[in-house]
Amino acid sequence: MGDPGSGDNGAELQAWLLETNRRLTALSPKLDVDRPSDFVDRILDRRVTGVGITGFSWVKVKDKITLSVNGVASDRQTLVTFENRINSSGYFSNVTLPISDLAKDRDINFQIKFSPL
Amino acid sequence: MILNNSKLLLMALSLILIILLTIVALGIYDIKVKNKETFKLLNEADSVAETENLAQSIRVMQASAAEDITAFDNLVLVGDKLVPLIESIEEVGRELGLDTNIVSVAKIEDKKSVEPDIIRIVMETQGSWAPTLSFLRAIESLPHRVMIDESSLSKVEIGWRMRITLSLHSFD
Repeated sequence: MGDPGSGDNGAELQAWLLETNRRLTALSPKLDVDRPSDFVDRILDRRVTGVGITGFSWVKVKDKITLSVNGVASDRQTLVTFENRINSSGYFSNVTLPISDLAKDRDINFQIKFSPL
Repeated sequence: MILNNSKLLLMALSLILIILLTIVALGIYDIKVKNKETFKLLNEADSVAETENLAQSIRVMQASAAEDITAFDNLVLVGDKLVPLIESIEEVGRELGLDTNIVSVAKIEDKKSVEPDIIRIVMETQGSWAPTLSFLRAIESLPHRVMIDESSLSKVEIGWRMRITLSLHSFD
């Protein structure tokens, strides 16, 4: 955009104003909301003893965000407790733990998927 | 004789009347055309005055918000700021003690869209947990509108590997 005082005639000034408005709209702080670290913090805050986390994933496709957390749980009850804590946190929706992850009774590899609220 | 004279007079008066009516009609038409032109000129004058008022308002706004405008311009990503931005990302990774790799940089243009172009930067880091999370927070805090398309952290043998796909608006 350059020096704001450079455009002296009406048309140039109006073009400058339009372009500035376009930039302000595109760069609005209200739209600057992608914070994967918040998601990581919220999951870590809900970790229970017996759950080891091995991965976090944040994927955004056309403004729809899908989150997942991977890890190893010591047993089924621990895993279900962890899932329930995520579910009741108030930050996430559509919390999904595949039933197949409950087949093993010890050292269960899991992936819980969910969306931000 | 009298009848003949009266007829002649009547015809002459009729002719004069027709001529007068024609003159009046032409006069009205001329006034209408001139009115139209006057209206058009008045509109143009109003438009010029409005444009000049707007231009004056913009000049006043530019003068009163010069510092803010300069600060905002500095935050807008344009072509010549891309290399320093990439280098600053690498520098942050190095300072945090992470192996940092810029995997790709691409420009996504959509000529049909009014939206600005997108600069997409894919980066990977590897290192211990705390610096990895600090790097993610540093990316989120870049002085631009940060759009993260993908971010994944996975535990590896030594520490954590992270991959971030970052999109930024570019105005060229």
